[in-house]
Amino acid sequence: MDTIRITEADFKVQQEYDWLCENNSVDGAVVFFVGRVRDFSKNEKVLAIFLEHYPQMTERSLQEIITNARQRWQLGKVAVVHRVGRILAAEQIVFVGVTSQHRENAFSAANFIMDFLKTQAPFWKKEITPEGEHWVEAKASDQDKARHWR
Amino acid sequence: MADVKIRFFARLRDQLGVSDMALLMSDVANTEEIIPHLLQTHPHWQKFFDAPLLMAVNQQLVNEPTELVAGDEVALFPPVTGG
Repeated sequence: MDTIRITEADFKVQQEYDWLCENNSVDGAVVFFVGRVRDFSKNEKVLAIFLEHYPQMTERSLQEIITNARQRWQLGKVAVVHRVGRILAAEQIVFVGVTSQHRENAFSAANFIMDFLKTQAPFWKKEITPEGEHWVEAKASDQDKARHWR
Repeated sequence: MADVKIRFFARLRDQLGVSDMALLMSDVANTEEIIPHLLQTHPHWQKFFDAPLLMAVNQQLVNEPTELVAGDEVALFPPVTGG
């Protein structure tokens, strides 16, 4: 069972964790990752970010990433929650949670989903600093991480 | 002839100053023809199209030239930076 949510509102990790565990007594492993807004980037203070996305494609792209993860590993539930809009420094951006019978599959799948989310899902970050706003450049290292799964 | 919808996102949209356009099927039968066609009417966009860009057809990333049909939605955008 998958849940994919794109939301302007913040999420509660406990609620997402509870959903992963609900009606699920077969999975012994739950792995989750939370991405947050750092207050520094390239020696510049970051006050907030603005996250734009491409509605319809975002959900489709995340579903495809989850489907690919399910083809590689035996997984129970998968939850991906990604915020959009204005997000302040230190706030949460993304939640990826995976359950499986054993931890190796859950760790690997959570990592895989994040690597592809960062390189395939149509989200774009703009950093808001005291000096102004600028779009964030994609990192080659993120491309490399996604490529190593192929 | 029916239209193909072109959408631009994030930095590219800000640079071009436009979020979407409608093109004629007779002008763009394949994704390869889109940028050359746009440059005919907007030659100053060249520098923005020189940067790395991704393309999606009907909300799916495409890496190869793709035939278009009436009603398709093509999106052009910079490499993604979510997560």
